[in-house]
Amino acid sequence: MFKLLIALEKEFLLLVKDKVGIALLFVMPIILVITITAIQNNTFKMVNENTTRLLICNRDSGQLSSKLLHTMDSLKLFQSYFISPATSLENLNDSMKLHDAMITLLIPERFSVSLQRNIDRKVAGSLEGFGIQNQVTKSEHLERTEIKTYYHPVLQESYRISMLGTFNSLVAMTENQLMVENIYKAINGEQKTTKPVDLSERGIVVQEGVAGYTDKNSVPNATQHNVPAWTIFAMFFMVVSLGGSIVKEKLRGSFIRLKILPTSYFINILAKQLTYLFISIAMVFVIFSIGKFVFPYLDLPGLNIPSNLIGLLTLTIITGWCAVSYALCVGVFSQTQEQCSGFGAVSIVILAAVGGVFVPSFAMPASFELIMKSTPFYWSLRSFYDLFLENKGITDIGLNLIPLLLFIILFQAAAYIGLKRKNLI
Amino acid sequence: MLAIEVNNLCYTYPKQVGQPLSKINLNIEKGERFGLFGPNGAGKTTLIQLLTGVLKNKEGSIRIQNEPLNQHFKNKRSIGFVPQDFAFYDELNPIENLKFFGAWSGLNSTEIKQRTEELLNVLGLYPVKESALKTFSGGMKRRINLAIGIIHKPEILFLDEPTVGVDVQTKRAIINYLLELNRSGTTLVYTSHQLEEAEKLCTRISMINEGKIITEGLLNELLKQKNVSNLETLFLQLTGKSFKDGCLNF
Repeated sequence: MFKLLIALEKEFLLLVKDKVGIALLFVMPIILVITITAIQNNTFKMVNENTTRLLICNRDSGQLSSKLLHTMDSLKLFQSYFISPATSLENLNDSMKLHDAMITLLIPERFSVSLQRNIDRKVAGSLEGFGIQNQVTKSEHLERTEIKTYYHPVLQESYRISMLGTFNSLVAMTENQLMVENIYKAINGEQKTTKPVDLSERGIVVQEGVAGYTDKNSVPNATQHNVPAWTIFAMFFMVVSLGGSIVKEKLRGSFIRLKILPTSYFINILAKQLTYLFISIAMVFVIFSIGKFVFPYLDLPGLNIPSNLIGLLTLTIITGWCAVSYALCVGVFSQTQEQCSGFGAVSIVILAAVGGVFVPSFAMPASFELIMKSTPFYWSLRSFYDLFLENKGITDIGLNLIPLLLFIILFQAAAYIGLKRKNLI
Repeated sequence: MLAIEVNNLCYTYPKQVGQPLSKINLNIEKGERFGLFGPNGAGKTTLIQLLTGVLKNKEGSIRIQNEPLNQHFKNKRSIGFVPQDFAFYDELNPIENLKFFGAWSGLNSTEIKQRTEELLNVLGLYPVKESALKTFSGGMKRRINLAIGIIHKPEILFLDEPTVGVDVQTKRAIINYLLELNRSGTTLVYTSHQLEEAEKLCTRISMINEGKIITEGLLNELLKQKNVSNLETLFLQLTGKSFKDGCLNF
């Protein structure tokens, strides 16, 4: 026990005296969590809070395009900037850069004419069924006209699809409103002053809710999703520090002393594990505290700590131990610090990507399911989400902890075999 | 009484990375100042690593103080090692290093404190006891390297080039301290390429070349026998003038 305490003291001293190492362990994950949460939160705001900059090139001289733009304006989804209708496609990119716009909407020359004809055709067709004669000439074919959208290359596909849906809805809304107005006029005559029904008035509204949540304020947000996910990432990223420490010890001269002195190297390895387990728990505490207390000052949603604190502590310890075991394994098998940091960092990014930190697990291809479940990230993230998003209890997350414990056994066993094979214990 | 007894010791590296040893036989008496010499790549380090238990022998036997090395865990405390490389944590200060390696050597808290005070004073490191070793000069690092190796008062001390890269004053201080240790009963097993220094320290020597012991005996007798005036001439006479580490002469 005395030797273990002395070894723990040595590990703590080595850590504390390495200011850059400490900064890497604590400051970098904090920056990472804040950055990712802020970006995701901003994306959410961009879609919902009228922050997307839209460039409009209206080449149509009719009134219907103005009506379309008026409807769009009323939705307050975009900050619109108008550019000259004469702007060529070649110059569009420069105009987008100039206005820092993400999307350009190009309304073609004959938009109003085509839209009016199509509406007339539909109105005439509808009225014919009621035996009402319409004065408007019905065109034989639907006129096809294209409103074009040009996106900044950085926009992701999901966002582009969402915007395309918005524009299609806008055109449909405008078209329907005009149809109703035309039918109204056809039935009531031009002289009637009564306004037709406003289609933008909606009686039935689609509301979103989150299963299991009754309190609207606690609905999951970017913070609830990102803080636990990136905290796990940071815990596993300790592989660079702990793995590096093991390799450094193997390479430095002091190792030869450790081998000949009458104390098992296993005690040194145990001390390293306990030190870094403590560090990982401290890291979680610091990051979660920042999420709860500092995020609101950064205009980010505050982190709601789950009520099940015992479950949270248990999960943190097991995830931390799993991360430490992985780092131990990488450190034992690496020959150089470059190997350790290179393989360690890349493997963590891959495991995190596969395990659902970057992309939600439900969005993964079905063929990935087995690979996904064979990463500790998946089980840890799932358990953290159970606590943070679904407020589950320790017994509910218990089943997810079993795979994590199996990973710990696997990594520890591999490290033990590695140490034995290298004649280190 | 024999401190170290080696019989028919053979060793081959798994991937042929070092000089294999063949049929080494060696007896070192308790309290002796024994020197092990040979050209680069002759097998000295391999032999010392086998004697200290860093490498495990498959053929032949090693006995330390009449006990087989592999059943010798408790006696490991009786072995001290001062490697050529600086074997300490240079981020830590002398006290922290001595505390860790003292505990690792089996000393308790009181013994560690007492020995730390003693060694820091004897080796002139007391004024810098709280400075990180990375700020030390080469000579100071050599002294702390020695202090760590002897904190547990080993009965047998292996020294691998303990004075390499230090100034005359430090070299002299280290050699004098080693002689003092020997007077108090410590067996010294010394290896170095500094043959003038070796002459002052060793009473009996062994020459190793290409994994084999080529001569062994009392230093004075060997010099007389081969009719040479110093260890360097003897060394060249026995091992030749060409490079022994696989390089071409220039």
